[in-house]
Amino acid sequence: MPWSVGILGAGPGVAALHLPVLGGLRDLFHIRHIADGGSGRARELAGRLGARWSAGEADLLADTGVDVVAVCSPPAEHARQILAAVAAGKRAVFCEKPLATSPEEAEAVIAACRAAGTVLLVGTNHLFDAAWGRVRHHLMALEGRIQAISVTLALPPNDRYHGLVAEGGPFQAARRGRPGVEDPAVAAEVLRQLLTGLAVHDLPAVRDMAPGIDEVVYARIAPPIGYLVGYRSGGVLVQLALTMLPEGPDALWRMTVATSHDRVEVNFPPAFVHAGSASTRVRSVDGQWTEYRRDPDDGYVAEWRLLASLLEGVAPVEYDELLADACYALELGYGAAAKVLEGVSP
Amino acid sequence: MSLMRQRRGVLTALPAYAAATAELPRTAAPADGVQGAVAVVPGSGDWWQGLLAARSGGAVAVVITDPGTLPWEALEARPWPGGIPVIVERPRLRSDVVADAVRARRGSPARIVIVECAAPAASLEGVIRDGFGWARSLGQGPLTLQAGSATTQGRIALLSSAGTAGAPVPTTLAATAAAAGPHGGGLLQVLALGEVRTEITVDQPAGLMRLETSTEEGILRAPERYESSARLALRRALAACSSGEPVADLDELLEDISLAAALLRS
Repeated sequence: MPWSVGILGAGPGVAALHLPVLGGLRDLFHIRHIADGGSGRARELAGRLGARWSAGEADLLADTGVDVVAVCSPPAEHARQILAAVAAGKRAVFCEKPLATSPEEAEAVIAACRAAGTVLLVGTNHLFDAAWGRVRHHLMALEGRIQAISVTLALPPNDRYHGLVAEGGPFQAARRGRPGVEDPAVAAEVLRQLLTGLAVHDLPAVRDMAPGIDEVVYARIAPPIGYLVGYRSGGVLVQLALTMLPEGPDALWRMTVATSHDRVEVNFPPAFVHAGSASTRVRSVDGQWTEYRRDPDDGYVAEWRLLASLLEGVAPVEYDELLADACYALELGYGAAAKVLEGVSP
Repeated sequence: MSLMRQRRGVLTALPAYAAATAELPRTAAPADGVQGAVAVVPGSGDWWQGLLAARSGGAVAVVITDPGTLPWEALEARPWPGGIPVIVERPRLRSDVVADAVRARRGSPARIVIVECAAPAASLEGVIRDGFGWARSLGQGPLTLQAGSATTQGRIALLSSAGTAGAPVPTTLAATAAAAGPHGGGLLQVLALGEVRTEITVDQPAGLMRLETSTEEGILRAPERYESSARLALRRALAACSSGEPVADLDELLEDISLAAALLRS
């Protein structure tokens, strides 16, 4: 019997991502209920699927047929809605990243889920990508010989990819114009949100290799909107770069790990599309490049499959890891924002 | 004018330049002395002394081959007196590939430039220096160091290049010391992100130099440059002698050396 899913949120991530993914996993999940925040989009999305729809979260949480609550609302709502789902006795929560917007919220959420035995999974899809799993295995065997990590993103507008996996757009929210990042306070807040909302895709993987944040070396907003952040974690140096472009080539989403004797490059496919796992290349010091095959499943499919495994008790819920991942991203966000406010002068 | 009188003498003991001279039979010929010749100065050791000696000996131009590092203080204490063209052969920063890269962007500015280097410790500074050369070329202006940090095996830095139309281009560097492989040299990867994306990979142990330019239409990989780096440098030196046009190679090299030295001291 598939698990019944209720989705809180009806934005692009639901319409162009989770509904198509779950549509391909009908043996594991079916959509029972979609709730929006009052936009009316839930009715349209649910109508196509023969699912229930509602406005606000109360009706969905009161729907006793919902086993799994997918929290796909704006980040500020996540922690509160998870706590509400736990209080409503739901079996599991799938939470889009980020888990919470403060360490206190994250701790409260984890404590509540742990106490109630609620299955929890955060949708940091790259963490579940099979290619990353193999790279992680390779790197962990090096026992501390990782020297530097770079995560580089150059992203065209998402609506280029929405149309490849869904119909009925436009999915992209109306552009609000460039925030006034000339004001350091605005720049700091924008940077914090970009790190906790977008860099967070990869930060759990980075944390596996660079577990602490000892020093934020630099942090700044990059044009037209993006960031450049460098920090040190023990003997590992980390650089994060993002530029979000109004047009241009296909998305570049690359993680590079430099070790004492090789260099691993992981190229993730663009968001939303289903092009299989990341592709991986390893370059050894003698100049030999080895490229590994892609898996057919991407991280989006993998994360929902994992949720099913967690529900079946096949795998344990890693509450402590989820909390540590959330706090890592939040700490980096705060540290980078503080660096912006103090300027980059050494 | 006879053919012999059109040919410029080339003074070199380096096989690569002897071959390059043979590959330019209409414009170059081996020379026995430095007077009136293009002098090829090996970039190993104190190449600055070699450069000064060639100039004082009457060379009409100098080619410095793949220069190694010299202490910046040493260079600063001995300013280049000028007067003759100096061509710098930088195999990781070939002038023709740089021109290809800049031209392929069709004027589209870079938003961010990212430089990543990995090389054995002894050669890392040279790779960083050439990485700065790429960033300077793609960022359309000189670089300034803004912040950096180092560990025992690595270094990261934030820089800014002048850019165009008053829009500085932020640049990052990540450099790591890798174990020495069976072949010399290191890896240099440069990304210029923007509406047009440029990606350069120079992998000396692999014998690889790849330039790719990505736009919404797809990826254009530049054709391989089959002319040897030595022939390219020599041809440029001969052209500079003929045209009298100023050559910026030495100034740019010193700028990149200075920046690399500042980074490594920080």
